[in-house]
Amino acid sequence: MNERHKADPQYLAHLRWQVVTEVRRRARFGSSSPQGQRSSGWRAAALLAAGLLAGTAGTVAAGEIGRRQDRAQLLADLAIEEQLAATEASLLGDEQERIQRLAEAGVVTNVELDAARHESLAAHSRLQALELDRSEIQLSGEAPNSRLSAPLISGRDFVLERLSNDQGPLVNQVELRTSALERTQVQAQAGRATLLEEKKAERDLSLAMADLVHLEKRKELRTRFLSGELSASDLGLAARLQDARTERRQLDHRFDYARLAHEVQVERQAIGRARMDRWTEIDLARLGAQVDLAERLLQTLIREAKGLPGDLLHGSEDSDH
Amino acid sequence: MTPEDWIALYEAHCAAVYTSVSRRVGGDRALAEDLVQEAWLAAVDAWPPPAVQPRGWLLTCAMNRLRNQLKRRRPRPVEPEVLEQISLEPNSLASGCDSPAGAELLQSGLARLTPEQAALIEDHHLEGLPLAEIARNRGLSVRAVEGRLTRARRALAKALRKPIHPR
Repeated sequence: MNERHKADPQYLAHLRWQVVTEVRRRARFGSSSPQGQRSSGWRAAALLAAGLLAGTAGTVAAGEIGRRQDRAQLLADLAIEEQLAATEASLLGDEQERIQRLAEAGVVTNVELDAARHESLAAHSRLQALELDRSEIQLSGEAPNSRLSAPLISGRDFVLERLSNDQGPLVNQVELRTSALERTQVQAQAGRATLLEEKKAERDLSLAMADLVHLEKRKELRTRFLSGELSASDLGLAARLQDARTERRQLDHRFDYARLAHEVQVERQAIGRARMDRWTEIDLARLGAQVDLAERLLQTLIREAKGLPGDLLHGSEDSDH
Repeated sequence: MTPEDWIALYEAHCAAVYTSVSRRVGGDRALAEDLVQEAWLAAVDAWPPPAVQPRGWLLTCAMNRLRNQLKRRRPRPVEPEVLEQISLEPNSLASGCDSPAGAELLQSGLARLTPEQAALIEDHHLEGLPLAEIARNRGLSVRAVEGRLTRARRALAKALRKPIHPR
């Protein structure tokens, strides 16, 4: 078959997920007819009356049955997601092997191989996250809880386990972008890459590092909460502050790059090497407004969080540079 | 149908439907992906009775969506070189879909035909189905299918304002 007309495996995996999600959504919410709604309303009223008559014991028993049904439903839903994630991981694993063979034959570069490895790693991480969800549902009978203040379940810290699971792909992303920056710098020295391309590679690495630092900070907050150093309300405030601080740093990186891109565009227009294009200017103005907004939010949160420990209040500003 | 049934249906047909759609839009990946996605979501909305061939239903749905888009679009001037790419000769009509621009022009021409005429050209020239099979599927004689195909190609030539040589 002509390769041009072959579907991208990632697209197929994503569409499969979308179709099944839509089927499930409709099965849950979309198929009730007006008659069905009336009858379920009637049934609910009857159940409520029976519950009131049966008293506390009945309510507890009904609660237990409900919890078991919830658990069964949650696990059934999860099984489909796991099946899709496993298929996606398998497809991306096959794709990685194919690219590995092509790389060994010298047909594709290591850059493509690294990208395929990253996709495969990310897919396995998503699958692993679903396995964690399954374990949590089995132990708690409730939907997985990823809040930093979530309790331990049967002695297991699922929040920290999830964060650690997310760390692998982020570390890999930083490694990939470090290599990309090094390559671009070498090309720039040889005159085969522009300053803008080099700055773009720098920005991409900074964004990936900011994501990784953010995740490490969340792990630290979780640990300090479980050790009793932070109350639940302080934890909530510190987490919001951390989110705002990361957002602000990432916007800074984007803004710096957009400013340079705009300057280059203006220079190129001035010497007639680029068409009149206002996109870089619009992008710069948009990012500038976002930076202002993020800074105001950050300052508001800092004022609210006066009681937090100093390191959480002021952050370690250079940790992602 | 249960989610498992949908997964089985998807596994059996999605890649083939994508390939057929991609061929018809000249390998325009973004457009093919959008059309196939819309067709599957439409299928979830209103899946037809089991007697219908799933692949044919999905393909027809995707192509109808494309043609509806093309019909709604304001007419654009046709590039002479793109028009040149499209041959209305029976044996080389499919080559019009070799490039996205040629495919778009051909599909916009098909959008102006009756659904029956467009489907005949699709089945025979683009999908490669033999006349005998088309005749069997439609309960017609081979001669009748040949006659309808000739008229469909004439209608396409008129829609594209392109001369056609009688067979």
